[in-house]
Amino acid sequence: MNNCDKFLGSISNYIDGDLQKAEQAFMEEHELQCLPCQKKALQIRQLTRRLPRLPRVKTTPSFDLTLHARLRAEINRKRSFSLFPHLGIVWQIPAYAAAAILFIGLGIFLDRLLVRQNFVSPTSIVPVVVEESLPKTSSHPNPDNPPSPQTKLSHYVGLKQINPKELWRREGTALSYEEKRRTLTSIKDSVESGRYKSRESVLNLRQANVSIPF
Amino acid sequence: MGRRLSIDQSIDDEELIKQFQEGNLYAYDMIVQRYKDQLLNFAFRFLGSIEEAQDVVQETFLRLYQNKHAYRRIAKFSTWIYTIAGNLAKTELRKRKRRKLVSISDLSFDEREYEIKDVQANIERDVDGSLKEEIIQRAIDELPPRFRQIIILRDIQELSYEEVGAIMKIPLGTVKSRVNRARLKLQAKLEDIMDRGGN
Repeated sequence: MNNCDKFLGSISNYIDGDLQKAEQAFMEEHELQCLPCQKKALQIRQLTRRLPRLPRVKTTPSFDLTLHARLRAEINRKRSFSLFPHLGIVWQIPAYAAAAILFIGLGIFLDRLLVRQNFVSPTSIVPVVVEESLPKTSSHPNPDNPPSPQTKLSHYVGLKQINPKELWRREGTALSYEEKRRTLTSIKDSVESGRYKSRESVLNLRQANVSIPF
Repeated sequence: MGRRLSIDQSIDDEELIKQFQEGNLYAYDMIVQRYKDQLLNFAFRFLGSIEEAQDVVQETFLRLYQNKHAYRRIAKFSTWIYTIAGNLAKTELRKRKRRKLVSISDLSFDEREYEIKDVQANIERDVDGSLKEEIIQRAIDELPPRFRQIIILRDIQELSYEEVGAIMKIPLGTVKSRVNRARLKLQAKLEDIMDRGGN
């Protein structure tokens, strides 16, 4: 780095009087010896004196009126759209997220509560359907014509209203014939014993003359 | 609207924003009165347009109203509000560049040449006391935004190096070296404008 680069690299600190003694001495000496650097230093000194004295602009009288109008509009907008009008914008998003989580959690809680109390909404009843192709009277599996292991439980009976979670979980895998038999038997027992208080389900089962195909 | 309590005029900014956070709208009004002209000057020197600068300052106060609880006492209030105004001014500058790109690309070659001649004619026409200010503003406008911002904060607004660092979120050493480079660039731009016939 030559002396001019060194001088220009510290010119601001030099003008601001923010240098150590040795550096200050070097700068003063170089300024005396180097005309281009001297010119630059002079111009920057003038500039730093001129810049703070540039005319100051002032807000117009309409500034406050416009700002107040915008604030009023903002307050009205907040009041009409926000569930949390007292919170700032930064806190609105977490507040809405927390409300959504609370809402979902409440839904799950109520769902579990209703299942525990064996309540099934009448509107959710799906008529029980028995596949025609299934043997209706045999109490044992027909070894010559067993139902396909790939057949889903919902093809036997509309079970959603009885235990949708179990059905959904188990239908994710291919069930063996024995598993289907056990599931259907337990469902039929549950309905007939009144564990699921769905009168319509029982009626539907009776009307359809359901007989478990094994 | 909320509480409106009388406030001692000598109260500091941090106490004012605290009172505003507690719902005292008179404190908000006092903040607006204290900072509106300072921020307008800053935005005007940054953007070179009084209308755009007023918009930026209004938007700054609107953001202050909306996000009053985002301010924490760990920072000086003045640096916090200057940071908001600086970010909004930079956004405005980007928008303007996009607008200019579109409008200039819409012109034919002859029209573009005419536009440039017109700008130069303006510099030569106003040979009076206000010319120098115009030339300085033109030189500031030609600086890259990060140098422009630091020159305005340090040399026009006369904030301390520490305050400039806090607003621009850069360390003190970087502030000093950037001020040095910005002054050299501004001096070179001014020389260049003078040589082009701006004086």
